[in-house]
Amino acid sequence: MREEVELAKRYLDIEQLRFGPRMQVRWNIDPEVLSLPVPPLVLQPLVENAVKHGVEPSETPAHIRISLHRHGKNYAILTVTNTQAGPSAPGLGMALANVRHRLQLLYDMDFQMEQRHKAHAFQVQLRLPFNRTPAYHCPCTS
Amino acid sequence: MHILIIDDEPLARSRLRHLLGDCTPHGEHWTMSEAASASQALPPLSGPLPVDIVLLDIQMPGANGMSFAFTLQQLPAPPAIIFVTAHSHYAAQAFDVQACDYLTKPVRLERLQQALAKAKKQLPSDPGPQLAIAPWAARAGLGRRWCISRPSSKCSPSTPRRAAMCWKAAWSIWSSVTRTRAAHSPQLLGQSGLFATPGICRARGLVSPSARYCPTLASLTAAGGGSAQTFNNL
Repeated sequence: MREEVELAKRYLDIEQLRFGPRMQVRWNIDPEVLSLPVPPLVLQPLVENAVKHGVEPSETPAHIRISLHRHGKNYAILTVTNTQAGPSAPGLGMALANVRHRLQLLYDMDFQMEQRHKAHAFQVQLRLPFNRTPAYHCPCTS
Repeated sequence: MHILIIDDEPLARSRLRHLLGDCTPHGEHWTMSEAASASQALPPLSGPLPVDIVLLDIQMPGANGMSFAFTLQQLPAPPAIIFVTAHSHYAAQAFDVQACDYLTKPVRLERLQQALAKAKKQLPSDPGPQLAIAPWAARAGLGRRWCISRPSSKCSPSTPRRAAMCWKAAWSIWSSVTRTRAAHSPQLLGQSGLFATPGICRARGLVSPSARYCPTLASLTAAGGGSAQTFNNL
């Protein structure tokens, strides 16, 4: 997760150059969660989605909030929330579907992914098992 | 030449600004304005200096560039539109709004120069010395079309000979204006008792006269300058 956060931060740094004050990002990280093993590219697609649908179509400053925290003993919750000024151009829905599909393959039923449309915000929340290393089944090594 | 850059990304605007700086022909004066969205573009478009060329991004917050281009086409004197976008799939639609060119980001200098050359060809050509003074000028058989006399001007001669003198004086002022590209041409034009339309100023690369010097037909007739018929007959 530490690497995922690092990657997302680098990505957001680039978008910050592009949008300047139009993009406001707030991180809220529980350091404990940083050691969680997660599949690669689980956070960045969610953040990119938030930029595409939250910041790009907004003339006024848009906010992205990314929070990682522990939920009880066994779970980590990862939340990406973005404000939505108006309707954005519909995407292909690939990013979220892709993340969901990969998590399904790795964790089977032991994870949750929820999308919430609020009044002026959109939120994606992942609940990942904390004490379980994802089972990689790579045909090339097995 | 007045060029308006409309792009929501500050870095994209600054890139275009620098490129435009690099392709300014020697001795030619260009004015650049910028807007971060279609709505912010309205003040420069309705300002005193007519916009000749618009460099227009497509994906922007609020009204997107393509729909804004439709709006621009409805203007009485629409500027030449050059799309500047990261996406190539709007190119077909760009024909519908009679865009002059379509540049994909990152923009290269040579390509921008080509686009500007095309846009310049699309602009109304220099009307030349087609000044007209009315209604006495019309009676005197002088030129018509671009300029009309101030209704209350002292420059309202009664005879063709006086009209010709007035014309000569006006012409010399007009020439000096066009030679010096004076920023205060409206004042000079005012002194000459002439009005110039934004079109002629644009063609001459001048700062457009303020609305006071660009009266509409209605305002002229309201000022007692003559009937609508008189002005129509110019």
